[in-house]
Amino acid sequence: MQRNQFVKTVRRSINLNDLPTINSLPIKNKLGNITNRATLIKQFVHEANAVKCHTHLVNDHEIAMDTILNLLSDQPNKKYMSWDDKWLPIPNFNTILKNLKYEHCNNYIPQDREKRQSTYKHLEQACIGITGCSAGLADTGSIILESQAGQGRLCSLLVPIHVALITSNQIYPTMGSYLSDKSDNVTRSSNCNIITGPSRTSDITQTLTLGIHGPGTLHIVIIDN
Amino acid sequence: MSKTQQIVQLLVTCMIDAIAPNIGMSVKNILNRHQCEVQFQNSQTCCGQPAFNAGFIKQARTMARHTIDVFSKTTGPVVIPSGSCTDMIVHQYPEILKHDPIYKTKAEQLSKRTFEFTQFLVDYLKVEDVGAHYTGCAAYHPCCHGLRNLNIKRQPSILLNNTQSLKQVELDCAEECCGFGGLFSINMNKISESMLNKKMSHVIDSGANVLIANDLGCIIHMQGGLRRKGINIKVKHIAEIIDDCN
Amino acid sequence: MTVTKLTFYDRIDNALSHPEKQLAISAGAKAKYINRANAMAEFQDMEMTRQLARQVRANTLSKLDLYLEQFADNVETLGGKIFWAKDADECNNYIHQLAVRHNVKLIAKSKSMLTEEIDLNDSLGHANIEVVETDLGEFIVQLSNDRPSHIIAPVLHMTREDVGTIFNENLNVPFTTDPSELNTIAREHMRHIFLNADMGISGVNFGVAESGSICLVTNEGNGRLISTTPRIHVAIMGMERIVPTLTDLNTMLQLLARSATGQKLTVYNNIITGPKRTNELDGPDELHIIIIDNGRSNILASSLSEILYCIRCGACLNACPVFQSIGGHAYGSVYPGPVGSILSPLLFGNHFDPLPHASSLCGACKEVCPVDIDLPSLLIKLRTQNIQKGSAPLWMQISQWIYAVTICNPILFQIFLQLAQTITNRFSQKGWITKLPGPLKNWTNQRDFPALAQKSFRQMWSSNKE
Repeated sequence: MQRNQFVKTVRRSINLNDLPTINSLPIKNKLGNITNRATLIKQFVHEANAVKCHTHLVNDHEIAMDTILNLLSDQPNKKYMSWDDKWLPIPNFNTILKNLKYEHCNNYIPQDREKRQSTYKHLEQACIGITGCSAGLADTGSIILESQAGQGRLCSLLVPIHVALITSNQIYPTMGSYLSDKSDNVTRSSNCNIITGPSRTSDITQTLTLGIHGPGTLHIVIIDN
Repeated sequence: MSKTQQIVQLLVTCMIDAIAPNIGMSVKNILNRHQCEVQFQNSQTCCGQPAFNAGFIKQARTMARHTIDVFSKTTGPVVIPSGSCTDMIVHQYPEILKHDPIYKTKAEQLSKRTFEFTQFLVDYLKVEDVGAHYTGCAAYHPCCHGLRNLNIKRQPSILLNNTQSLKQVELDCAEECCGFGGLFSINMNKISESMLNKKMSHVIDSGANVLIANDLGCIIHMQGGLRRKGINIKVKHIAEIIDDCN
Repeated sequence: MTVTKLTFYDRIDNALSHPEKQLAISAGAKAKYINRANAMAEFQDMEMTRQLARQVRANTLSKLDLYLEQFADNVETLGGKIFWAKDADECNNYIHQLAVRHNVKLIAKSKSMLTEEIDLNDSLGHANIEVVETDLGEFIVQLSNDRPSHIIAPVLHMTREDVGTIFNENLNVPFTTDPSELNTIAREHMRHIFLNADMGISGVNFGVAESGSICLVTNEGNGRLISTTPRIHVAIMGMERIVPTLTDLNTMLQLLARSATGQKLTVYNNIITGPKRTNELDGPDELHIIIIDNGRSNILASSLSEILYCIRCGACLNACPVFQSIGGHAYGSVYPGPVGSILSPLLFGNHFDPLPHASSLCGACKEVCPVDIDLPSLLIKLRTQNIQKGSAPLWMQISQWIYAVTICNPILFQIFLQLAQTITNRFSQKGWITKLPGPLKNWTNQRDFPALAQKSFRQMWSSNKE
C-alpha cells in the first residue's frame, strides 16, 4: 500500500471517532531525588541484587581488574569478548589480559554469509563478555549499553557470563533523569539496551529460571573512587 | 425529636422490593434512628441496570428517564442499599443520557444526590457506629460494582468493626466476582457456576457461618448456590446485620 | 487468523471439562495477578503514571497520522525500510518476497501476537521457508502444534509434564520435568537457530516517532538475538503502536513490566534505531519495519477506539475471573481475555460476537489496566451493537421490551410483581425454587432461586402507614 493512502485512511478514521484530542501533556516523568552519591550507589546495588545480578563494589580500577581476573580464572578456557579499551574504565584492560595469555575474540561480523557463521562459531566459545556502560539506574538496578564502534552488542548477549563495568558517577536515580540529561545518547548508535538482571523466563509453570537465551549470569563491577 | 430531621428518599431497588423487603425495612429503621425521615416513592420501579448491562440501551434509557422523573419531584439525598444500582444512577445515567437535551441535566442532578447505603451512613451522616449487635462469625464479600466503581470498601468495614459480638474472619480472594453479573448468570451459566464454585469454596474455608454482602443480586446467587450444595451458611445484606440492636 | 468451527459454547464446555488445565491456568493467572499487585503497591505515583500513560496513548491516537509520518521519515533517514501493509496478505507477501530475494532458508522469530494474528508462519511455511519461534513458550507451542493461550505466557495452560513430554517426543532428549533442565535443552537447541538464521522477525512493542526507534521488550534475550545475529531484521508493527517521544516510551516501559510480570523493568528493553551503522561491529545490515493496519483503522474510526490504547501487557487476562475459569483457548482467538473479547469481534468478525457476553462486568480488568481502558463499558457497547444487529435470542428481546414497558408504569409493575409472586410461590418450597422453566432453567442447574416475598416492600410500606 502507498504511504499517502495509508496515512489518509488513518486521518479519516481519526476524524470519525469520538476520542479526546490532547495537545499537551500536563505531567512529565519524575526525575527521582538527586540524593548523595552514597545513597544512590546503595540503592543501585540493592536493586541490582534484587534482580539476581552479582554486584561488586570496589574502590579503584585495580581491584576491579582483580575481580575480573578472579572470574576469568574459574572458566574452562581463556577466550573472552570485550569492548575496546576506550569504553572501559580500566586502563589498558585488553593489553593486561593479552599479557596473561587470554584470547580476545574479535566480534566484528562480516557481511558474507559463510564468514559470518564461522565468526559466530568462534565467538560462541568465549566464556565471558566484558563491557562498560553508558549509565546505571538506581531505582531499577539497570545498566544501559550502547553499540557504538568498539562496543559490540554480542559481548553482552552471546556469552554465558556478562561482566559490566560502571563508575559510580554514571549512576542516575531513574530512567527519567537519565533521559532528561542524555536522551541523545539513546539513539546515537543503532542499538541501546536497558538491561535489568540476567536473561530469564518463567514460561514453564511460572517457575523462574535464568539464562535462557542471553547470559545467565550478570556481574556488575561498580568502581567508586 | 429535638434534632432537625433529614429527608431521605429510599430507592429500595426492584429486587429488594420483590424478594427481600425486610432489607428495605432494615435500611428504613437504621436511617430513622439517625434522624432521617425516610420517604418512599410508590412510583419507583427498576433503575434499568439489567437492560443496560445486557446491551438493551434503548430500554435502559426509557427506564432511566422514568426513575429520573420519579425522583426529580422530590428533595433530599437518594439512598440505595445496592452498589450496582447506585453505580447505574451515579455513573451510567449521565453517560447514556448525555445527548438527551431534557434529561442530561436532570441525570447529572440525580447523580449528585444519590448514595449507596453504607456510603450515606459513614460519609454523609458521619455515623460510624449504629449501636449494632450481631452474634455470628462473618465473612464479608465486597460486591464488584460498589467496590470498583464507587470505592465502597472502608464504609462497610467501619460499620462491621463497630458491631458488637460479631466475629469477623478473612475471606480469601474476597474481591473476586461471585459470578452473578445479571443475565450473564443465565446466558453463560457454566462460566458463572465455575466462578460461584470458587467463591463458595473460599467461603467454606473461611469458617464463617454468615456471609455479608451489599447487593441482593450477588446475595441470592451465593445463597442459591450454597443452599443447593446443602451448606448451612446464611448470606445476608449488611443492613440486616447492623439493624440488630437488641 | 484461522478460525475454529466450534462455537464459543462448545469451547467453553471443552475448557471446563479439563480440570487439570483449568487448575494450571487459574494458578498461573493468579500468580501473575499477585506479582503485579505487589509491584504496583511499591510503585510511588502509580496512579499519576497510569493517568499520564493514558494521556500519552490518547495523544498518540488523536494525531496518529502525523506521528506515523514522523516515525517513517526518521526510520528512512537512518537507512531502514518502511513498508505500509493494508492487511495480512500484503504483509506476508512482502516478507515472502524479501526472503526469496535474499535466499533466506531459516528465520528466527521472537514472540509477536501480531504475527499470530496474520498467520505469518503458515504463510512462510507454504513457501518452504523454515520459521522457528525462539521465545520459550512459543517454541513449545510450535513444537506441539498448539496455540498460545495467553498473550504473555503462551503455555500457561501446560503442566511441567506436558512440556517434558513435548521435548522428549520432538527434540530427542530424555524426559524431564525440571524447569531448569528444560531451559537448558531449549537454550542449546536454539543456539544453532540464532547463529544460522538469515532473517530475524519480531513484533514491535513501541515505535518512537521522534527518533524512528523501535523498542523490543523481552526477558529471555531472544528479541536481542534475532535483531542482532541475522543479516536482515524484519519488525512488524501494528499501526497504533507508536509513542511520540523517548520520555513517553519510558512511561510505558515502567508500566508494561509491572503490569505484565510484576518486574520493575523487563530484563531487556532493546531500543533499535536503524540498521547497523558503518563503523559498528555487529547487528543486521538491513532493517525492514512493516506498519500494518489489518482492520485497525476501522476500529480507530469507531466508538470503540479506546481499545487501541492497549499495550498488550496481559494484566486484564490475569485479573479476569472468566479467563481464570476457561483459559485462553476457549476464546478461540489470538487475543483472549477481556481485551480479546473486544478486539476479536472487531478484527475477526461475527464468529466472535458472543465473546463480549462472557463477562460479569466485575471491572477487575479496568482496575489493573495500565492505561485505564474502560473495558466493561466497551464490552457493553459491543453487546449493544450485537442487539442492534438482532443477534439476541427472541425471548430476550421480547422480555426486555415487556420489562421496559412494565417498569415505566408503576401500576403494571405492581401487577407484574403480584403475578410473579403467585407463580413463584406455587413452585417453591420453603421460599426457594429448584427448577425454573424455559431459558431460566440455566440458573437452576446448580443454584436455587428465591421465591418472591409474600408481601413486597411497597405493600409493607403502605400497610405500615395505615
